[in-house]
Amino acid sequence: MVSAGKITMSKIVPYCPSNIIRYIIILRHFILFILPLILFISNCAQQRQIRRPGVQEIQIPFIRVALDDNMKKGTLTFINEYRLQSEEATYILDSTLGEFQVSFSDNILLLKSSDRRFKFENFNKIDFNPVANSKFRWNGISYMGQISMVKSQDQLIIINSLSMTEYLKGVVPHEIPSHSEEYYPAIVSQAITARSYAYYHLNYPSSLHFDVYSDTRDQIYLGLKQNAPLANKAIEESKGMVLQNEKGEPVETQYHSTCGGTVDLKYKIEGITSEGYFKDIYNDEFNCLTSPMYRWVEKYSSRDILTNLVNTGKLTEEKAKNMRENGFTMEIEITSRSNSGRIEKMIISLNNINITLQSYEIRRVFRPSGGSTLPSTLFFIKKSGKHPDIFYLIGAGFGHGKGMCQWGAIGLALKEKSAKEILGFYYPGHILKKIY
Amino acid sequence: MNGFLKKRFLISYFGIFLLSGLISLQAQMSTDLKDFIWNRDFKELLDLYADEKIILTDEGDYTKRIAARPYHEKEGMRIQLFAGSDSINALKVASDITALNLDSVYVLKENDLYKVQLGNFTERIEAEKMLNRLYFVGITNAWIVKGTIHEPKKEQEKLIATSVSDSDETNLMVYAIQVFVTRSHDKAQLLSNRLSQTLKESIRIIKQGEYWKIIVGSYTSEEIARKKLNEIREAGFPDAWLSQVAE
Repeated sequence: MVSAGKITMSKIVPYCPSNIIRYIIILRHFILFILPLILFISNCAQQRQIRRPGVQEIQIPFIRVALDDNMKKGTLTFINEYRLQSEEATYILDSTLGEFQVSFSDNILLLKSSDRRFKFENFNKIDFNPVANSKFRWNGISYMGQISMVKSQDQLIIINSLSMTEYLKGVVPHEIPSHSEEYYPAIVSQAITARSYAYYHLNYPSSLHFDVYSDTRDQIYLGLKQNAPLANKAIEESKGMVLQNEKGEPVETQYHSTCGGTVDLKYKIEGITSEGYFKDIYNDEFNCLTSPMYRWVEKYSSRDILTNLVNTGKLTEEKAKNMRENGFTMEIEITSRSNSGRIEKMIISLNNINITLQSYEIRRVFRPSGGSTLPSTLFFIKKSGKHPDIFYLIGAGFGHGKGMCQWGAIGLALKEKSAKEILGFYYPGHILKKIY
Repeated sequence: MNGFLKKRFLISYFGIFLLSGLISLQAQMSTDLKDFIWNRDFKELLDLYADEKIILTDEGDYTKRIAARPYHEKEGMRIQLFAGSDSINALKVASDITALNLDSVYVLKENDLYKVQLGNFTERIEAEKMLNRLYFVGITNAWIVKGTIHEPKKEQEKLIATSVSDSDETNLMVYAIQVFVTRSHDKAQLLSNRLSQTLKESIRIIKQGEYWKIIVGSYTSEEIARKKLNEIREAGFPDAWLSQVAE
């Protein structure tokens, strides 16, 4: 912001009667031209601030990250000095107090260590403020910055507030392989994409109390768990760089692990291609061929799906038990695919009970045995030739397929493309801008 | 050739061409699925092969239990030796007759009545022969009853049942750990040598397109592969990721 008070006269003029007229002329010029100019610039700066409430330019922004949005039990250690301000006193907390067992039930928050015990009954928010660059450990992982405990609708949220730079250091190495010089342009692209995503959520927070989740609902953030010098370098070198849309507004730059060859353009990037997707290909080779999940095959029995339907609340255990005992027919029908080929909707018919699955539900219901969720919805079904109850999903990629393909970015980096080229490839029509 | 015939000829020609193309691709898919899905544009694969509807059947545990029995159930005759409400007596009679080792002995409960029966006979004459044998050993209060009997399955039927339940299709892919990907074969070789000093698992260098991938291990279960992945990451390879590769 420009301040009128900082503007000074640079030329010193000695006092004498012959100069009085010159003084008057300068003063007149000042009143007529310079003063209105200063007022105009000052007004413009104020207007710019009004357009983006809560987000400061120039300074590195702070971000609020939910480490746990429904905490029941946890452990907390203050590695360095922290301060807790209450109505009656200021408490100094550090490593000498040992590990606190934190629990929340019946709207009562308890922090117990071998030396200290804190009980909070009527509270909305408790802040543990760091002294300088103090660190704390929450559930075995070290973090930097402030830790707050917020009560919201009978749930306790653990929030870590810290600078965008420190936040990104806890995101980038967990989102992309960050230990090879060969991948560096991809790591820089990831840093910019993660910063853009976070910056968008400073403007449009994921919750009233925090800006982003620390898991796949937003971006994986694991504090100081992994020190990746290349990621740190990429974050520093790209400091303040974000992607914006052509109107200069922040964008939620989604990204994913592996597109499998087709990137979905369906969301928020309109007018780029009429088909709504583009091929992730360069020099006749798919960029994410580098990925460990470029192609995959999963095997299931109809009973596996029956169990998963029960576990996801789509079918009652009673009905499933009856079907297991007396037999059943399972019809799996894909009813809608996006232009990129990803399944949007499917129907599972079980002895004439129709269950409709959409987007992420599909990945949960087709969860492979021993795995978390199905890698992606870009797959086709192949029935076993031998067994009437066995089938395979033959699929490509990992993730939702929107925005940057991280392994594709690595592929492009290995083909000596710069971060700017990578971002231009995956976010067509976007502008790269330094905002701080 | 007039315009109409020419048009029909072109349509038929194009139809035959398309059909033969699809047949050959279908054959290729079934013969070498692994290479097929790896080297092609997945979007095109979907357009050509996606089976948008499948129907699976599960016969149910009850049917499986029936199928697993070593016998069929059918109508026939048995020798009944006891019928009464006293279960202890029924078991004693069953125990005595089992000791004679004449045939299979059954203890049934029907409408609060315990029954002890012997043998499975499809012909009355066979049942009468057994009744005579019982007279010889001093059992005179037995009689022939009609009902459900057990007929042993033939050996061939048993074999079919076990082969269906036990055999399985070969896994198309296995789980593995991808530790590194590079465009330089020398780099891949160097890291592979370093890995072989640290890890006991099998290490392979696989070429995919212009890239060289270092792949560690081969696991049939994702759960085991994930455990191994954590070990490899902790051993100083944080960029290792879970993967699937063709066996």
